[in-house]
Amino acid sequence: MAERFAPGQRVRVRVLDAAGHTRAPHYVRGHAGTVVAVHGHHRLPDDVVAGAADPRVEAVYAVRFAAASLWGSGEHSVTVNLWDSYLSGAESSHV
Amino acid sequence: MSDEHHHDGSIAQQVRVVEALLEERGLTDADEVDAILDSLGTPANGARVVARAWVDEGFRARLIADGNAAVAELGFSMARGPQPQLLVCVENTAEVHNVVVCTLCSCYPISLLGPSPSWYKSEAYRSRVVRDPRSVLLEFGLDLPARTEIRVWDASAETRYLVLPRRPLASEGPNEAELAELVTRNGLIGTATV
Amino acid sequence: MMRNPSTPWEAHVYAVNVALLRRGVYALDEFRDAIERMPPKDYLDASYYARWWYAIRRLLREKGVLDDAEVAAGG
Repeated sequence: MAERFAPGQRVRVRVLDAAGHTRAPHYVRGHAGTVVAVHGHHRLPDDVVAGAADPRVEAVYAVRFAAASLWGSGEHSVTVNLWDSYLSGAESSHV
Repeated sequence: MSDEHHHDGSIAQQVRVVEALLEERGLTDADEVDAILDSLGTPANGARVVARAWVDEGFRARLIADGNAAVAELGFSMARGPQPQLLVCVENTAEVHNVVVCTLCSCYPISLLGPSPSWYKSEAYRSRVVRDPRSVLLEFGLDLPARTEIRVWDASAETRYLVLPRRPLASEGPNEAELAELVTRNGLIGTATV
Repeated sequence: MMRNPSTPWEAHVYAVNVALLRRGVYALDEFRDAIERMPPKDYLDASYYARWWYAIRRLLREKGVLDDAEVAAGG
């Protein structure tokens, strides 16, 4: 159960073809954030609901997004819990 | 199912019937239902955790490092509900104010705090607090300084967040039990200071 | 049987859900998915625990535990 990402790392939420159940909120899909912590390892809900015989158990990350990057305004941040499959690595350059 | 099945009046009757049928099938029993109902937390539980953290620096550090283990010291468990949850305590400071939501479905640390308030489950709160928390907090009567960093936590997985409010400045002197009485449910969610 | 008739039905919905989850009749993820599969109009008309009840009834039916006829007959 390797963790691909570590606190401090930039990640991007995949734009998911979520025909079924998923736990990536719409408002973060496609956006980049920073991992602040790993919050355990859990079965991927998408797999469980799809009836997978062996649902993937993955790291769940707390990922922090700047409000301004999500909505164009706001000084606050939003930290969302996201499964490993929902994420890809992101370049650390400014966006 | 027809429309009438979604109205609360007819649901109460269905619940009685289904519970009885499930008991007949051995899928639950009255003792188990009672035990689950008895295990529901209340905000007083969260208040005790906060008061202990305010008076005991070692406990506060343990609470931040491992919320599950720390609340277990006080006899509380995050494993009495549907499935075990990871408790993460987020601490308010002079610079940072935390507020909690579950945008996807209203997840809430029910075994520690009891049932969530209706406003927490509303589409309005769930959609607005991630986008404009400052305005939402203002509607709750909380006007934070412009320089305060607001962190919104969206409990989209199995983590449950508990806000550790700042200890009121005038609270030197009261004992732990008196301090616990100062802690409100909204303070534990982040829509109030205490 | 509901021993304390003054306990709100919402609390019993919560308790039934916990009991069924513990026994593995369905998973918590399936429960959330069932609520998400609720027809939009029904979802908007239903109160919070009414949505939970819809999900529980639907999963009991889909898992072959209880169908609508049995529930109707038991009333």
